[in-house]
Amino acid sequence: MRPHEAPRRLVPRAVLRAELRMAGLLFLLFLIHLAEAFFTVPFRGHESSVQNVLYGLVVTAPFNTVLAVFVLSVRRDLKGRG
Amino acid sequence: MRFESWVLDSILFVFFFLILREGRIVLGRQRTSLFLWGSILWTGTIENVMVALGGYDYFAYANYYRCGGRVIEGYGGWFAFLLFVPLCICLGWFLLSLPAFVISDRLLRDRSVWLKSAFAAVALVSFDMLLDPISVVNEWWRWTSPGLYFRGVTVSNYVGWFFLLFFFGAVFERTVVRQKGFGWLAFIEGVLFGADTSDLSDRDMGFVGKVFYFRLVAFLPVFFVCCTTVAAAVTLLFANNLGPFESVFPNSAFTGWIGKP
Repeated sequence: MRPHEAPRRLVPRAVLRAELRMAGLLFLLFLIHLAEAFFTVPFRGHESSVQNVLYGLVVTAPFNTVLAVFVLSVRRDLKGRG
Repeated sequence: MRFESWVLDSILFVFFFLILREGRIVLGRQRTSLFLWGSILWTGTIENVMVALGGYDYFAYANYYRCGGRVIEGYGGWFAFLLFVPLCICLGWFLLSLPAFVISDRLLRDRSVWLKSAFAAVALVSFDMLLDPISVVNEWWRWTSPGLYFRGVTVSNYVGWFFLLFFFGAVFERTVVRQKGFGWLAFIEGVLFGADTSDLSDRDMGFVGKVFYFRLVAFLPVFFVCCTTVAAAVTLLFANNLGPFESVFPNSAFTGWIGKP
């Protein structure tokens, strides 16, 4: 076993939890930016802040989908380890 | 309502430390450290080159920013600069790309490093498509180069974001995680390091780190060629609009060869 592989193998639950927290932080950052998009002036080509939010939800759909799949995968592994 | 750049600065610094903490648990201290310093080397170099060429700028001049309606004397708008680029931009890239890398590593476990990097890069671009228009209307940075503009942001920016993580992720995974080599760099690495770098599994992380940083530098021209080719093709094929602003740097590198419309 290589030294840099130790965290994943020795403390899998701690690593899985860290992965979940990381995903949570990323989603929180997304929500903060979505709030900024709502409270700030309309983007170029937009007429209202609501359009900003709708635009934000559409363009980040791939990111959020990947994030959701990742969270489900980590949660499944966590449950599998009791 | 306009958010000043120090708001983004603060958010990115806080999230940087939080993601760094989790990253050290997930990837291990040494690999996260290499990812961090590699990110700063990679993005710091590329961003500074792009700014110096006049592609965009970060309003890096004092007496521009306000707090409570008053100009802050001598303040350039960002807590710290790495030459022409705010430090938080490099750290922000790290805090987004590290989780993207971790996500692609989990979901595509043993697939090709290029496929995993492309997957992570697409997720990163998706996130940036929300962040960049916010930055433009809040004047955190501005685009000054000719290009196809979408919500105030040139599409070349997203091309750049894609290739940033595409190449960085592939080099990191191949070098630090799988500890293998790149065939086209084998000869020069043999001369530079005096060792066979096609298999780094028996080497200590200090040596792996040196090889990793060297490979990042070696991939810089590859990044610029790919990025410029795709971005120029998009600009020439679909639009050739000048940027909405004049850069503080002469941007003849863009307008010179693409041609003013």
